[in-house]
Amino acid sequence: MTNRREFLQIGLAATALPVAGGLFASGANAAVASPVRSIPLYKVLFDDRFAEGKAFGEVASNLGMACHAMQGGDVTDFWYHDLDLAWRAEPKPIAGFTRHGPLFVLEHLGWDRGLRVVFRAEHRSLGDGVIEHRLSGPAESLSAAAALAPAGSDWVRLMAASVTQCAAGCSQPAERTVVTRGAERLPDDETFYSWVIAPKA
Amino acid sequence: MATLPAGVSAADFNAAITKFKAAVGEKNVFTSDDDVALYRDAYSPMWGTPQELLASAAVAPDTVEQVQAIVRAANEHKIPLYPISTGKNVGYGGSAPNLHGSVVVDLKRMNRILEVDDRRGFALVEPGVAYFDLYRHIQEKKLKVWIDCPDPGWGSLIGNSLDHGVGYTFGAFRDHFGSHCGMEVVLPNGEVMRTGMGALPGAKSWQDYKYGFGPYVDGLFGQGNYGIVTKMGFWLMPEPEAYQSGYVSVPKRRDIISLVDHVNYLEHIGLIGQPNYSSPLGRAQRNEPDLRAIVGKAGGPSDDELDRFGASKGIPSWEVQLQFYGPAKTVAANWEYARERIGASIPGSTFRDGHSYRFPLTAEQQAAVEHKVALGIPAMSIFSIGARSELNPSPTDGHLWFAPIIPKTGEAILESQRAFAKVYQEFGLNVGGIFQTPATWIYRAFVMIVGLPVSRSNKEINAKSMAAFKRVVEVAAENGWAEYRSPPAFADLVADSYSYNDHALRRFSEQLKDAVDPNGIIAAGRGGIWPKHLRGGRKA
Repeated sequence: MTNRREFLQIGLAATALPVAGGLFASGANAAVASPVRSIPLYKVLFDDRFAEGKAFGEVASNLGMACHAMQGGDVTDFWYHDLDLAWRAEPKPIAGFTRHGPLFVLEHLGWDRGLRVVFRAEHRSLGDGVIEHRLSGPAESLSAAAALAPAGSDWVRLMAASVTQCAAGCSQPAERTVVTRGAERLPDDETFYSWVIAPKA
Repeated sequence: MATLPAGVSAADFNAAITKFKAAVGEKNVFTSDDDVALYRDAYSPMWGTPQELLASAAVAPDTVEQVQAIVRAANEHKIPLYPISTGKNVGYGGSAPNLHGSVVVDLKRMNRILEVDDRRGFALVEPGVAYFDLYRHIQEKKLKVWIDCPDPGWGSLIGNSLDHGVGYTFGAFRDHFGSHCGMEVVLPNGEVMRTGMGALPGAKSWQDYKYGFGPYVDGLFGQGNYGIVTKMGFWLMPEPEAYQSGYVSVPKRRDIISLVDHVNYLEHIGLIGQPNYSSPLGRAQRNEPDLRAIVGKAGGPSDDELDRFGASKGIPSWEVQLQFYGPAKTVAANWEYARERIGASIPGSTFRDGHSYRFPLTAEQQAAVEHKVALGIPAMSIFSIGARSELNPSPTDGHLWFAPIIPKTGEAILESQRAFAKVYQEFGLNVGGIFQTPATWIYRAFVMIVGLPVSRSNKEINAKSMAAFKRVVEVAAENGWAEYRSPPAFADLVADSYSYNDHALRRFSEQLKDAVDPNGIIAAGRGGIWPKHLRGGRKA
């Protein structure tokens, strides 16, 4: 059983790796050794109005990802000046930590270019420092999702490490729900989403 | 397994799919559950229920000839088609059909900008061209024209126009169907028709003069089901030299009557673009419990009570934002004229300047513009708002737009507020109310629009919204008001309210439908118009 300290150490190790199968690849330890290739992300989008978004962006940036902080939670600038042009050339995978609106928009725009949401985590405050994480994605990426439980207030950093190293070319979609404790309430009690949009398999 | 259209055999459906594949290529025909699910209405109040309106398949042509081939195959096998441009019309049905089991004809691959002329001020485009696409084209080529776009700007010009969509600049351009000029249509028999001057071979003024000669038929294709529109021309606004906005506040509740008359004058004589009304007193409710008590008392407040409260706190009843476009000199003069005119007429009116711009904007200026669509800049910021509340716990699950047209007068605002507020209160919905101000996109009418909440997890919310929708349509009709567009689930209900002389308009439209589309293959049920063999299933 991985304790919280070990889990965080593994998470930090994962964030230092250029190639990994995702934090949840096949058990937390597998993040280091997994031969599974991660999805090569074009950009990571985050909502920097909130501490959780900033933390997500920081981890992604430390992992060497190109990041984009949305202005006021609005995806327009990223879409018009960046992603639309990039996707015209080639539909490339992206990831993010946002509220529902930007994900809704990018998911629908992605459909038009043959992309799909391949990983989605819905983060909701349940009160008393409890946050529920409903994850859906490739089975390989969720097999050790329970390892998120001891992350406490570091859940968003670990989620960032996982999402930015989401396993590519995986098989059947799966769903898991995990609860973390000891975290701050999410701003405005809104639901936040970590996600990966990638070309349809 | 595909949801087959009612009355269509698997053999016919499969034969049609084979022909669609031959026409557009296998990879552009979608029959898997995963692919077809992309055409669901994201905001459907019937999501996940047996009543949800779903497509059976989708086919994505790239050329007019391919559209013709699809229509001919559909006729042969009696397959109902549901054309969409880009299918981004969330709140009014998205890309889901009115008739369950229809095959979506997805026109997004037809995304060519065929011509933009900034001297004559028009664009000719295909259905897959989104507002962002045309805007980018204009920016890249440094053309001196603006688009008028809805909010959000991800949709198709043609799709929005055909649903009578609206925008945010000058009246003539805000009416997106009204500002179109000329269309090309694949008729239900597979023929290609061009309207207006386009009917003249070698026409040199297809996008300049709408009517051509003889009956003007373009209106049949707006919210209609008489063909698949494959090209449309749109008039574009010349880039102005300057923009100035100004705010006018008036103290008393009934001042709205005089204020609207003045603003109408300014707009109809061509001095302003879209006026935006709001209620400072309404906004003050949040921080003023005494005001909430007045508003919430049995029977509602009197105008005098509201005026006394507003006067005691120095809070105006109403405010309107005026937007001036044009040469810098005339913009300034027009704002000055508006202040003088209204100030001389409404005691206690006050004025303040809003934003001011000179064009073209720098990239930094453009990024800082708050309401981009007022300057013809497409945006997606509307998806960044939508707050959770006790009465709308799932704002992300969407809404149903209830969008009734009322006369463009202050009296109509006050009358409709009270009539609709009563219904919303009855259903416990926190929308509308006695401070609601109209949407002003439509040049010559107001829209008292509200979004009724939808939830994917709470069926009671959907049931309540649907019941409220039905009731509010009835109340509107009793008062001489009706919706200008509607989600598919309510198209029959709304069409039913247009019942003058025993539904003479609908009977005429359906006579035309029978003549033009005898097999009823195009967009059955759109606009409340059904082909003969499906009229028994009308929902109203």
